[in-house]
This record gives sequence, C-alpha cells and structure tokens, in this order.
Amino acid sequence: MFSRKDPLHRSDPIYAAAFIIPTLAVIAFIAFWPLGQTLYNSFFRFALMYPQSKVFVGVSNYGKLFHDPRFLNDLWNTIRFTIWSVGIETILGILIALMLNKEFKLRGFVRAAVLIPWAIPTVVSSQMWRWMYNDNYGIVNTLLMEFHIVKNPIVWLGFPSTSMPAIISVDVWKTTPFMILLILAGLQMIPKELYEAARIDGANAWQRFWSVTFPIIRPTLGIALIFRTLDAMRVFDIVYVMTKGAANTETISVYNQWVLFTKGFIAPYFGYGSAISVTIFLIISAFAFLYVKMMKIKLD
Amino acid sequence: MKKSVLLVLAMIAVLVFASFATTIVMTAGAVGREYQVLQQQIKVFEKENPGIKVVLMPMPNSSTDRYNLYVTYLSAGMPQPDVLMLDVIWPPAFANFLVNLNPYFSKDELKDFFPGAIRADTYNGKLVAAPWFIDAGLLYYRKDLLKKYGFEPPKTWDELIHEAQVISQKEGIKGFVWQGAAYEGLTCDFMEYVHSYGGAILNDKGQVVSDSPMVKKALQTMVDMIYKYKISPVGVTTYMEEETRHIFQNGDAVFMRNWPYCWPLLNGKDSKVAGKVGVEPLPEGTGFAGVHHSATLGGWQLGINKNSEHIAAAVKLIKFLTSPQQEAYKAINAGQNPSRLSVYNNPAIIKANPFYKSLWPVFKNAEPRPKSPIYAQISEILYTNVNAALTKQLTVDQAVAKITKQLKDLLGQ
Amino acid sequence: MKRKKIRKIFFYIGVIVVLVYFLFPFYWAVVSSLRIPSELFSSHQSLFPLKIQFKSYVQVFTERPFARNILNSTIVAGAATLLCLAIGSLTGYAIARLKFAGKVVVMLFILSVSMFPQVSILGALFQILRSAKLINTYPGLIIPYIALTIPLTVWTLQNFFREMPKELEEAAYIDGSGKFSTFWRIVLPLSAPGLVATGLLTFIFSWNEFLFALTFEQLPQMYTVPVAIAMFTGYYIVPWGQIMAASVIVTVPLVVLVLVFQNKIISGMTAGSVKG
Repeated sequence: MFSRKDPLHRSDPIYAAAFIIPTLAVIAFIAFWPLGQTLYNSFFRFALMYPQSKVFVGVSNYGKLFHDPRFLNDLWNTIRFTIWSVGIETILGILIALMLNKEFKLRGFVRAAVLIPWAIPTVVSSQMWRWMYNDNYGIVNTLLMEFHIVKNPIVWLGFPSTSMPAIISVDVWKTTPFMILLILAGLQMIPKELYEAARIDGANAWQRFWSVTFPIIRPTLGIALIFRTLDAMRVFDIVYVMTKGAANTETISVYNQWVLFTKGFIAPYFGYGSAISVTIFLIISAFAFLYVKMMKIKLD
Repeated sequence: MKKSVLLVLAMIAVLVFASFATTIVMTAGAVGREYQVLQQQIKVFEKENPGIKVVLMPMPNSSTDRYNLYVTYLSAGMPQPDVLMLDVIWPPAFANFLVNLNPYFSKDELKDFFPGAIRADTYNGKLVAAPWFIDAGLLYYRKDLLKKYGFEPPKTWDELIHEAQVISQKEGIKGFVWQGAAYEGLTCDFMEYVHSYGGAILNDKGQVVSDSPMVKKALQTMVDMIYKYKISPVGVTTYMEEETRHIFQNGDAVFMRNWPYCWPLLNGKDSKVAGKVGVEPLPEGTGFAGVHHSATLGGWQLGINKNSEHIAAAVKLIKFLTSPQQEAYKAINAGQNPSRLSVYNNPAIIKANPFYKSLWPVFKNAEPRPKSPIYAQISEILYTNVNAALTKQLTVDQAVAKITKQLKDLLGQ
Repeated sequence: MKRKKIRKIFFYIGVIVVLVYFLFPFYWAVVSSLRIPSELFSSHQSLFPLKIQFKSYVQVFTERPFARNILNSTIVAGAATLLCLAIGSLTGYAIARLKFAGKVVVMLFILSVSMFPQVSILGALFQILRSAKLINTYPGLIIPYIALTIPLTVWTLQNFFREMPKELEEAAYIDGSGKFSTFWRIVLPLSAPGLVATGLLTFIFSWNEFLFALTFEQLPQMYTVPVAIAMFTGYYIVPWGQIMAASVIVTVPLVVLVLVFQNKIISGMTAGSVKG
C-alpha cells in the first residue's frame, strides 16, 4: 500500500483548481452568465435596439406565453417532430445495426458510408434534400411521376400535410447513423455464445432478439434515445433552411430565434423572447432530468 | 487563436489609418452585375472628388438579413457605414437614425423623382433617404401564345383567368405563376390584388380597413386561381421570384407576375422564350368602385447614418449616384429602373429596355406598401395569413378576419 | 442450402438499399452541381448529366466570398478544437486522477451544459458579445464553441485517462516530477489517440454549427461555411447549381476525414455513451 505521503493519493486542491478553473470559467462566461441574463431579461419589456428603455413587467411575459397560440402550436410541432423522427430513427437504427453486425464483404465500406450523413453540416444536408423535394425540378417528384405513382407534382414543402414528413425524413436520414453506430457498439459487446445457446434452444430470430439482444443493448439504446430526444427538441437548422417555419413546420427554437432577432430587434419583444428561451430551457431540463432518473445513470 | 487575434488587430489598424483620409463606407449588394456596375461608378466618383475614398461593404443578399444587420450597426451608434442602401419599406423604421436630406435637395430637384418613392422616403416631414432605383410589379406574358389563340393581353383578372385556362389546357403548360410563399414578396402580390379591387389594408389615417368585400374578393381571386380555375399550380404557395422566372423562362407558363429584373434574363441567350415575351400592367379587378391597375412599389434608397463623421462627403456621393447620368448608366448596364422621371426620356435607355416607355405609367403610379416603423410586423401578419388561405389552412373569411384582428391588436386600435 | 442462398440475396439487397439511401443525396448533389442550367431546371432530369460544366464551381469562388468562408470556418473550428483540447484535457485529467473535494459537483456542473438548448442563451449571449465588441470577430465564435464542446471533451477524456495504466505516472511522481510536468510529459503523449478522437468530434461540431454562427457573424465576409450555404441566394435568385457545388466542396473533405479516421470517430462518438 502507498504511504499517506504518496503524491498520487494526496488531495491537492491547488493543482486541481488550476486544472479545472479554465473550463469552469469558459462555461460560466458562455453558458451560465447568459442563462442568468436571459432570466433577468425575461422580466422586462424592451427591444434589443433600445436597451435603455427597459420596463419591468414581472412575470407577465410568462403569462402571455400560455395565451400565445403560435407558441403552443410550435410546441406541439416540436413534440410531433421529436416523436416521429426519434421513433423512426430508433427502429431503422436497430435494423441497420443488426445488419452491420453480421460479417460480410462490404461491411467496412457500408459502415463508413453510413457515417457520412452524420458528419456533414445539417445546413448542407437540408439544402440537398430541399432540392430533391423541389416541386418542379426535384428528383422525388420526377421519380414518383415516372413510375405513375402520382399524376401531378407534389408540393412537398408547401403544405402542412407533407412538409412536416419531409422535414422529419431529412432528420431521420441525418441522424440515423448516430443511432446505428451506438447500437452497433452495444451489439458488439454481446458474446457470440449467447446466440448459439439461444439457437440451440430453438428460439427464432424474433425471440432471440427479445431475449438475448435487446436486454444487452437496452442501456446503450437508452442513452442514444436521451441524446436524440434532447437534440430533436432543440431542432433549428433543418426547419430554418427548408421552410423557415412556413406550412406549419415552425418549432419552438425557430420561433424563439425569430422573436428575439427579427421581431425583438426593434419592437419591444426581446424580453418576451427571453421568456420563451427560459421556458425552452425548463422544458428540456425537465426531459433531461426525467431521463437521467429513469435510466439511473451514474455520474461518477 | 493567435492568427485570429492578429487578423482582428490588422483590421483595427486599417480602420484607424483609413480614418485620417475622408473615407466613406457604403453598404452594397455583394454579387453580380449590380456590384460591378457600382464599382465602376465609384471609380468615376473618386476621380471627380480626389479628397474622398469610398469603401464598399458587401451586404447579405437577403433583405431580412440586411435589415437585421443595419439594426445592429445603427443601434450601436457606430459612425460606419456612412451610406446605407435601404429597401423602400425601411425608411420609417430607421428614420431616427438617418440624416434629414431636405436641405440638400431643392424642391425642383425632388420633383424629378417618382412621387411614390419620395413619399416612401419621407417620414414625419423629413426626407430620410433618396430614391436610387425603383421596382414595380409587372405582368409578363407569352406574345406568341396569345397571338396563336387570338387573345389580347388581359385587362382584368377575369380575362387573365379565361385566357390562362384556355391556353394552359391546350398547350399543357401552367397558366399563371406568381409569388405565393410566406415572405415579403407575397405581401407585394397581395397588395396588388387588394388595390386593383379598390380595397386597402390601412387607410390614409393609418386605420385598419382590411375587413372589406374588396379585400375578401382579392384573396378569393388568388385562392381560386389555384383551386377553382387551376391556372396556377399549387406550387405557387412556395414560389418566390426565381421559381416563377425559371418556370416562365422554360416556356412552362403563359403569364407571370414579376419585377423588371426579369426582362434581360428572359431575353438572354439561354432563355427558351427570348423574343416571345411581352410586358403589360397587371390586370385590374371588376365589380367594385375604384378598381384600377395596380403595381406594388419596390426599390432601393440611399440614406446617411446620423452618426457619420463625413456627412458632407456622403451627401456628395448620394447626389452623384442619383444624378441623371449615373442613373442612366445603371439602367443600361445593370437593368435597374431609374428613380428619376427625366431619365426615361433618354433614348439609350429605351433601347436597352423598350418596355420602359410603354410602362412608364406603371412605374409612375406604383403604389407603396403600408408605411409604418413596424412595417415588418404588418407585412408578416399579411403574408402568413394569406399564405395560410392559399394552402387551405384557413378559409378566405377566416384569413381576412385574422388579418384584421391581428393588425388592430398590433396597432392598438 | 437453397434457403441460405435466398437469405443471402435478400441480405445483400438490404445492404444495397441502405447504401443507396445514405449515398444517393450526395450523388444527386454532385450531378446537379455539374448540370448546365437548362438541364438543371427541367422537370425530367436524367439520372446522369448529359452535358457537364464546372461553371457553378467557378462561380462559387468568383461571385461569392466562399474561399473566405472556408477560411473562416477553418480558423474558427481549428482554434476552438485546439483550445478545447488544451483546457479540456487538464480538467479531464484532474477529474480522473486528482483528489479534490466536490468532484461530483464539478462534473455535474460541466455536464449540465451539454443539455443546454443553444437557443435559450442566444439572446443574452448576443448582448454580452456585443458589449465586448466581439460580434463579427473570430473570438466571438471561438469562445462559445469551446463552451459548447467542452462537456463532451472532458467526459470522454476523463474516461480515457481513467483507463490508462497508473504505473508510469507513479514512477514519474516517485522521480519527483510535479503534477503538471507529469501531465505534460507522460500523460498527454500517451493519450494521443484519445485526443485525436475527441478533437475530430469537436472539429466536426464546430465546423457544422449553424445557430450561433448565424447570429454572431453577420457580415458576408465573416460567415462560416454553413451560414454562407444557407444564405446562398441572390436578391431574387436561388442559384441551385452553386448551392450544390458549394455543398459538394465542403462535403468532400469531411468524407475524406470520415474514411481516414472512421474508427477514431466512432470510438469518440460511442465512448461517452457506451462506457458511461
């Protein structure tokens, strides 16, 4: 055993502080200070352009929020978006991960190909898909019409019935890779013998999945779900590039950014925008907290 | 990090040194012919005024982004940019941050500018910007197809609908394309229908008068073009200027509503409709008193930052750029419509843009959009609800009721 | 035997479907960027371009400050990555190896930032950066990116440090080496693979980030690549050929990065979650 004087096991707050303070400083300056400032702003009525004419309004900005049909509608849009895209991603992710878990010739190549959509900027993938969904010149309509599935071109991004699915499809394309790779990592921890045992027991593929695979990948799946849900709730880039929120696709982040910077620049809505920001923060935190509790994640 | 710090330092150094000479910073569109032509003009200006240097500051292309950027600069009280290029709907919003130009333009001089543009640039009795070039909504049509079916260019919306229906069915192409996406352009289009039926959104006193049969009829006409008469594809609800131009230029539509910028492009080398295009005023409504041909006024203005340290030099630049010679040069080389009436008598300009002559009344009578420092929000209410009606999320009555209520709430009426 | 063969065929069909699904959009972007305008804006586009031109690629650089945008992104993402690794590795090491009170609180504090919705600090951060005169500067974007990426960096690196054998450090201590020099001379060189994996993730994140870049860099010459591509419109014009060309230009280096560092990226991605 080491002696008490052993440097490795002595508590040294000075070194620890020196090693940790830069990180804490950046985080405090960029994350917690603005968060506090946002909270403070949310109790006032003012425009970003005229910060000197601030009027204290108490919590009335929050009261207004619950009667703002646009906010409530956007909140619902965000939830719809999250449920659909995370749901589809999870199912697709499991299927493709199971496929990639098998040994086959092109495996390395497929795994790299899958990674690419994840690596490119969301703005770029949104533009690529926006072009493919173009009603006149988009390949999607060209193919549908070529195969006589539809007669007239579909205006994908113009109507609520098709624009949200179109946006979800882009998110699925972009983030399924994340799911696949996480699940794949989980799958690779399963010892081969377990499958053999199940096979000998006469279990079919479905039973093998539920009794062997699923219990083992469940923790990984859980963490992937947390990341993705929190991400999807914050979605901004895809919606901003594809529709700017038109055709009932606006999400809370897009609305928030618009209130803060387009509306709140000159008109006294910056405080109201800050109240939206705080509310979004609380919603996301609640989700995060719930998840952490549910998954019993250990932090140290 | 080091590199970026150095770069910032270098930028600061350049700014500091530059401030010893009289240097004016002017915002400008960053791409294409517009930018090149402006650079040429600046060279001439610098030669004529040896003490002054002009630096062009490229701006984002989207109008909304420019607006936000100006807000950032002006609200911070920065002395630069000195000269600002402003959309026709912005002067009221920025009036408090701009120099009053009245002392620099004589009354006679002002008479030479389009009156609508001068009205748009005047706020609380002060001329806060000078019109630089103007835009107005026009009806483009296929001369060859109208001739083939024995039609005259339509005078009313009903005629347009009829002609578009006949030709589009026989030719298997689209009838009429316009800008229906939820953005500023839709407000422009919508205002043209409203005015053409003799309606209005705000009256002269700024009161909300949108709940009228004329406004409903205007919106109904737009909706019916898509769903009842099927002359406009449902896609128009996502189209901005360029989508419509591509369709029309491909020979896939009979009529198009668009701005003058299309003319040289439609007659360009890679256009399928070169030489087959005619331009007319937009049709008028029917059935109401006060129906008339209406075109929405667009265009850009030049204003001076109140905190500028070189107001005299900036005035010189603005007067130079809005002089008849320079406006003529711009019209010929960049296809941008002069803001001065007298320039339209210049034969060289008419040669480059033949429709300037026949459509002179359209430009002269172009109607401004509602004038207000919170125009952006008024417009947003209009285009969101109109687009909702066009995509059948709201009925016409619901949309008009919503517009009226939201405008009244916004304006406190 | 026959059943096995059929299953194999179905399996490979599945593989091909997956490949097409993930790769077709790139193919289409490449094809679109090479088309001539009259072919690009036609309602019956061929799957292969009939005529090829590189005009869109030229225009991206001559008509726009796109080279400058790429430089901006490189500076911002590069600086953010290096600085993030520098301070993140120190903190990660402290958490993995040093003993001090309140470690769990510190870790919670850092990790909680990764849950922050960016939009909820957007407005106030803009105000702060504006009063510090950092809007439209590189540091104005680099510093926020460090804050956004540091939670993941600290988390993955501390995992990494924990798994390193302690013996070398102990030997160094016994030789009388200080904490910092041990970290600098012994720990860092050993942890190069972990640094590369985390650094790649940080770089990709900073390169791709949009919301902050959109808000804090407002001049066209200060735009980063994603903002430039999102803003690729003329006053009226939407130049699809150029948008696709620019998309291809910024995708190619990322594809190369992914192909070369595939395993590193995947280990970085999964480290934080699977082991945690």
